[in-house]
Amino acid sequence: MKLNTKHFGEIEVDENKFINFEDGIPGFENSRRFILLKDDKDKDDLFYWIQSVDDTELAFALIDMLKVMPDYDPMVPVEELSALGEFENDDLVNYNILVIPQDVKEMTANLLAPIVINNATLKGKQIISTNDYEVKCKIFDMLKK
Amino acid sequence: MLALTRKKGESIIINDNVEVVVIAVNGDQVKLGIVAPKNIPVHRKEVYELIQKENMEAAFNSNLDAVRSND
Repeated sequence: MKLNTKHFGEIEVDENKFINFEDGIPGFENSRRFILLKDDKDKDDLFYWIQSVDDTELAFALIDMLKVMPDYDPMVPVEELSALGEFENDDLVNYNILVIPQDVKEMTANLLAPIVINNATLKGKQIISTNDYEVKCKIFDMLKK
Repeated sequence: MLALTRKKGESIIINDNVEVVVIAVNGDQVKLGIVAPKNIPVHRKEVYELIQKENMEAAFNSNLDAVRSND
C-alpha cells in the first residue's frame, strides 16, 4: 500500500511488515502501528526511521547502537518482553531513539529506553532498561570512529 | 484524585490485583513496596515522564539528512 511518510513523502510499504506497539510509544500513546524504514543512503546499516502508519507527521530517527557501542547491553525486565509474544533469541532487535538538533554535533541517543522489536510477532515496545544508561547520550563523536 | 492516609505496614489494593505497601516512612521520603502481576510494568513516574519528554523532543528533531550531510 501507499503510505505518506514524514521524511520520504509517499512511498510503497508492505502492510505485512507493520509493527504493532500495543501501548504506543510514551508521549504518543495513540499511535499503535509503525513501520521500520531503512535509510537507503546509509551503507553501514546504522540509521533507521520508525514511521507511524496512522500519523504521517510522527517519525523517530533510530540508531543501531551496537554498531557504535559494541558493549551496549540493556537489561530489560522479562515481564516486559513477554508483552512482545514468543521469540527465539535472534528475533529480538533493539534500536535507540535519536534527538537530532540543528547542531548535529549535539545529537543524543536514548540508551535508557530502547525500542525493542520482536521480528517473530512484529510487536514492538519501548522498554525502560534497568541499567544506569543515559537518556541523552551524546554519540556524535562515536560515529566518526 | 483519591487521597488515602496509610501507616507504615499498611497497604492499598488497586484493581484487585495491585497492592501498594508502605514499607517505611522517613521524613519526606516514603518507601513503597509494590506487588503486581508480572504483566503490569511498574515505573517511577518521573522516569516514565522523562521518556515521554525525550520522545516528544525526538519526534520534532528526527532529520537524519543533517547527520548524513555532515559525513
